[in-house]
Amino acid sequence: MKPEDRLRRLLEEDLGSTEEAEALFPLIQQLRDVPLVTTAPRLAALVAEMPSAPQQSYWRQLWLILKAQIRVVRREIWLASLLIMTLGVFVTIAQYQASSAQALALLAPLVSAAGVAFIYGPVVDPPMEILLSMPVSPRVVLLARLTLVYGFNLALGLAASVTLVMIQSGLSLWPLVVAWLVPMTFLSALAFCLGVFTRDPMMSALTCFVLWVFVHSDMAAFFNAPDLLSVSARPFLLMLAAGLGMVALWLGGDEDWWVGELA
Amino acid sequence: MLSDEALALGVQQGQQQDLVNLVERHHDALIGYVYRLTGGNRLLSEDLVQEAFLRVWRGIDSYQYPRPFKAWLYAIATNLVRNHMKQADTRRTQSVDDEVLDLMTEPTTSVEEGLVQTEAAHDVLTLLQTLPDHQREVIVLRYYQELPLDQIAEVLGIPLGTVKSRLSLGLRRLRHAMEDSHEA
Repeated sequence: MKPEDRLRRLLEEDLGSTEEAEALFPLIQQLRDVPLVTTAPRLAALVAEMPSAPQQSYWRQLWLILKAQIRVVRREIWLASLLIMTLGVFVTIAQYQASSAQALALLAPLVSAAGVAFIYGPVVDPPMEILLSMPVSPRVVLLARLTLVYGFNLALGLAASVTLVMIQSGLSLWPLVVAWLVPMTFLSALAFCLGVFTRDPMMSALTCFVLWVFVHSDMAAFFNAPDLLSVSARPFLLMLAAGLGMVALWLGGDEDWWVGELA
Repeated sequence: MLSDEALALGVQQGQQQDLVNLVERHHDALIGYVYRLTGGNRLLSEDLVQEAFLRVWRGIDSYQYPRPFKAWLYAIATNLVRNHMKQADTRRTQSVDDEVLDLMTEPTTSVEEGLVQTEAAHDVLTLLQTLPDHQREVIVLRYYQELPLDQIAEVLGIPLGTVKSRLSLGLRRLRHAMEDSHEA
């Protein structure tokens, strides 16, 4: 088949109309025929003289992606998390009751959820063109940011727990960690999912805040709501968190959803 | 003849001649693609294509055999063009000027032929530049490279439906731009 006929057929296939294809055919053919002189042999000779390719490990690539996202995540998130978590430690020490660390268990999930809520959305991300030029997919970018923010809060929570256990001999590390870790995972996943779905970080953070206050208040008992803080609810919360996280990654990894328009 | 993927595997195993073969096989078509995306800037296209092959060579470990090598190569080149466009707003400055000079000084082309060719090239590249980058990429890949839609989706890392919608919107926009330019 002649190149012209092949081009005509492609246009007809794509446009679904012979008339429209014919209207565009001269222009598209001109586009194909734009003259150009190339230099392949010279380039091939250059390549042949190159030294061996440096090997880049998988871990190094991962590190580079994370490092790039550290610059994009809002700086306030790190500072706010650190301050609030420190406050949680002090309040827990001040209001210490044996085998209880209410302030840390209350604040750690909230801090993490607020941070995670702000890893996605038009107010957080650069313009569409820059985003689309990234060498990795939006899904990997989101996962990297989630890892950074959640990981940072996790590290802070662990540091706070270790500090509390060292100061208050009545506390045990594992029960203390579990008391905030499971709710933190759930609330962060909820904030992530809401942030991606609504593209409104503030709305996402506020919703998590309201839910968290509700769970901790007497209203939950009044409305006969299930006790999300109970030990038996933990497996359910973790499964829910995994589900929410996967939905958010699936939705947020879609380029069209990310840029907020259908191309 | 060895497939692109087999050659890429050879490069992964340290066989430099396979890279030379890949360069010779893809260079012309790739430079034509980049040339159209950059609005007809030959020198820039050559630089970007050279950089694309350098990245192939440096990052050959991340190539996953037997996925299509061509799609991987074009994805790298597309990202380079995009990055360049964001870093410097050179889209309309150098564009076709280099080509005008080349054609005017081409010994086998008469001045008149050169001018006619250049004017046509200028017009079509200018029209192409009126499209958003993401629509331009799809159109050039489809009608210059004649890539199937699913491979375009792989190159650009977008769903097939998005390729189709970008193609349709881009062609419609191109047609309007062409009609506007005729009226003008």
